[in-house]
Amino acid sequence: MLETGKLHRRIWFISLSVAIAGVFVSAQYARVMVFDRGGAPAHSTTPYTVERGAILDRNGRILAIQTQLYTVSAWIPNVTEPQETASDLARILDDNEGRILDLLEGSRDFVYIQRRITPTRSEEIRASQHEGRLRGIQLEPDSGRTYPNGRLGSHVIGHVGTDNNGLDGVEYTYDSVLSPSEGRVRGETLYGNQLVLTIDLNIQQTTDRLARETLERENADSVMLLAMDAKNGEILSWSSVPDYDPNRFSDFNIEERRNRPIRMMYEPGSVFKVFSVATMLNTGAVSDGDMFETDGIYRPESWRNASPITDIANYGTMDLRRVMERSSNVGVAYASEGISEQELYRGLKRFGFGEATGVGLSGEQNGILYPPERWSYRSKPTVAMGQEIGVTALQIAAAATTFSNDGVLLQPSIVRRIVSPDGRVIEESERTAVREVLTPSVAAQMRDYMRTSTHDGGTGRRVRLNGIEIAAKTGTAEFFDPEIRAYSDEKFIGSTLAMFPSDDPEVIVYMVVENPQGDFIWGERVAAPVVREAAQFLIPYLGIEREGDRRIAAPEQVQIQSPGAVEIGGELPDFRGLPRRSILQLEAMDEISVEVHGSGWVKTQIPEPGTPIEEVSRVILELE
Amino acid sequence: MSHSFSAERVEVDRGYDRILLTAMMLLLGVGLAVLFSSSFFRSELLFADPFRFLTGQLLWVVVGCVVAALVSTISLERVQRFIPHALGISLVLMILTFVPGIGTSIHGARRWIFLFGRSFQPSELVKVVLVFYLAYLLARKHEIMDDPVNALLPPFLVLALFSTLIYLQNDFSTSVFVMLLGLVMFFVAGAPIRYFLGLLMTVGPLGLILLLSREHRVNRLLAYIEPAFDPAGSGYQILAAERALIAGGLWGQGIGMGTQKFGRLPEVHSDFIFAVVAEELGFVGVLAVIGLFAVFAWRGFVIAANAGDRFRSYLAFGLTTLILGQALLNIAVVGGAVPATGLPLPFFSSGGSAMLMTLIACGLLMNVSRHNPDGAGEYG
Repeated sequence: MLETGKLHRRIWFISLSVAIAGVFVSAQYARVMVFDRGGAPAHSTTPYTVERGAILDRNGRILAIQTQLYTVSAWIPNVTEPQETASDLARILDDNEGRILDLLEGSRDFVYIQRRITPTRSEEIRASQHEGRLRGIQLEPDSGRTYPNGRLGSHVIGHVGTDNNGLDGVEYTYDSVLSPSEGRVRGETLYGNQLVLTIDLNIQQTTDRLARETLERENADSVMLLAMDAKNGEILSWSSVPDYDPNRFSDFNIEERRNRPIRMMYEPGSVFKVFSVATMLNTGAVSDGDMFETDGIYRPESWRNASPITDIANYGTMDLRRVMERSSNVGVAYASEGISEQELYRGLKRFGFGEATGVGLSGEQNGILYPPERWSYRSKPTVAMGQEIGVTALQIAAAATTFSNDGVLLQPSIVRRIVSPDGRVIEESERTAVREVLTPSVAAQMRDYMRTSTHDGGTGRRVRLNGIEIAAKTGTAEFFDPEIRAYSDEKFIGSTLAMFPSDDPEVIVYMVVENPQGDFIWGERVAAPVVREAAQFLIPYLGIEREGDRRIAAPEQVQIQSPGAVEIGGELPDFRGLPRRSILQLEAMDEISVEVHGSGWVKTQIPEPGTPIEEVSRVILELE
Repeated sequence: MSHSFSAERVEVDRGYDRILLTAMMLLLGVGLAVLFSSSFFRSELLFADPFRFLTGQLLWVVVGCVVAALVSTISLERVQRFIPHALGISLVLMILTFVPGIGTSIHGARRWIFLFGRSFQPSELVKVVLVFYLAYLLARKHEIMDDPVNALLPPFLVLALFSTLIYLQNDFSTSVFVMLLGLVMFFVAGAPIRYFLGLLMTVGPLGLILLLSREHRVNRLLAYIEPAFDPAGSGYQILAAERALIAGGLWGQGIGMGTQKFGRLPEVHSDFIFAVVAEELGFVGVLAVIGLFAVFAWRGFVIAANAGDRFRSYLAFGLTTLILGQALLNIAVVGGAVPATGLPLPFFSSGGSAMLMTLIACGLLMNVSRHNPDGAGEYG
């Protein structure tokens, strides 16, 4: 019995050990499953499924959408034929066979082969598996975000990380709207709200193309091109190149991902004169008929040896309109003598400079507008001509709404509407007036100055289009290099602000070219012609009335065939028989002026077709 | 009083241990249900037949139950005579896994032999045969437990041989498990404590070297210490299992409702099947399954303690520990309490050999519970 006692004691000892181990393991389960459930790993995962809401353009076209894609992984112990598996996968996934083989042989348990593959490829893998191939390879559902339009509007839309949380753009700022965390019910899929942007994909496409072409043609560092509804501040397109593809954002560097229109601060140069001179008009410091005697140089006696403010030529005596048309620095400097530093500062502040517009995108810069206490004796005229201040492109475009809204500044908006998953409109953006900045008459006056700036002799003449009056102001600024804290001699920023039609603007277009290194650096050269191209698209697209268009659309005319583009090579082509619509774009030519008489189709052409283009300075076309 | 087995001993048929039988049936039923729930998606994906894994497993269950019923009635004394043969056959099968053409290597692990169109994992057989052998030998050598060379060394060498063969199949965890199981049987059989201490000091360092000699083991260990260290690799299963646990909560998602099995948790139907139990049945279900294993342990150890002779006692103890030890380790791994091992969960994990041997072990336990020689003092 003593012997049995020892056996029993040892059995019970083991039983007790097992029982203690069992209690320990149960406690571990209780901790993870009941008491400590909010642990870190749970956070990034899916006890609840949330389908992130779509992002749409203003016409309902999809900019971002949730997808259920599959990720290919391998469970190594089940991979019986690594060589064959690697070659099959390489073929299906269009991947490197060696890389896959390395993955399969370099791991002992679990390894990812490729994430979020296309549905076609998942199908091919499944088909292969039905044939008994690809053993050990598995497809895991992996919810992702797809941006069907790639780069279009990428800076506004932003992107999401691998765990589907917004990292930039509206994906970031509207994260909780797109993917609500409230009301999650376990086991049920929760659908996020949809976001309808103010962006119009067609316009975006055009401005993107123009911006990209400009970037290449001018060999510039960056190009921004914004189009905004002048009546309500809705942003119609937001082009900024270099840009990136949010589908694979990690392949792009920080410069490409940088949302320049709100994050790049620069000195605007002469475009800014519209805001400073409007402020002077508004305070009564100057008035419409004021004359300014200039001799190309402005240096009050008190400045002594400080470098003067100069014009590129001596424009002589001018009125205020002429000062604006010529963009005379000296003229503006004289004009600024009538306004106090405080008044100028407060006036510019009211335009919104020095503070973020609050458009609803992350990382927006405030810009720099120093208070007069920090100004030097030279600052007042310098600020008036758009230096010693920092702006963002969006600030300039937004400030321009003042001119198109009888002096009232509007807040720019990027989200038009938030729609619940069941189609209910939760929130609708409205025209938001920030404050009254100018009297309606000053706003009209400035528009008129900008209008005549596009006429012969004005700096904005390259924006002009026949049949419509466009208000515009160009600018060229030296780039202030933050590293050396001085102006760069080689780096310039050329820009053009335009709105049309000038008497009651419907659209504001603003273009900035950073560091153009082509033939020109001037805003009127690098940006203005592109703004005109944008206008040529926008005017018919938005249904803005333009003289001459009506004829073409008149019912008694024959059906309009899609007019082919007129291309000009070394010789003057034959325009005869072409519809007016086709030759309108000839007006975009910088070198040759085209006079069009009448309407209908081209009947006669002077000079004759075939004349070498070098000899042609002017083309006269008679239409019938 | 004779110290050898007595032929004229009066055996009393006490009938099957009903509590143990009920616990086993419940474990088997729940196991199959969870297996189906965890595998239908993968099965559908791979074979366009959601029942593929289940029907495969059911076949083994049927075969296993028939064999279990048989072994529960046979005379254990008669079986004793075949122990050397069984041991020899096991050895041959183990060696066969290294023979090209018969043994199947699945990415570095040579654990399977392929005979008659079915793969079989001899190490599963080895577990049961070793328990049988050790129970038999230790009971016989009971008298000379103080003579280590004659009583302990031979069975220890056999144990070490099989453990080494399993290690060479690149199945470290099973190898260690078998070694520990054997040692626990030595302990229960009354081997002096000092030998265990001596063994610990010599074999401990060796085990550590073997453990760290393969990269995937080190990775598993690292993954245990810090799962987020390599979330796409070794830590993945641990993190995925933890997600399943968290998703399960107190009451679970309901059977068939879990989502982690949809490809997120690799090998969910085998070594990590308990994660599905956790996700779908919740902590309540986890406790219930652990409770069933506890009942199993309770009855198993009671049967061992009250068995008619030392051989039966050791056998019952060894078999109970075999099933329980694997269950405990597997559940602990899924719960993140110990590093990942390759041990299946008896009654739950898919795998024909394991299921068959588990059921045979159950049959043997039943046998011991039923046949109990009358009277005390038969220990001998």
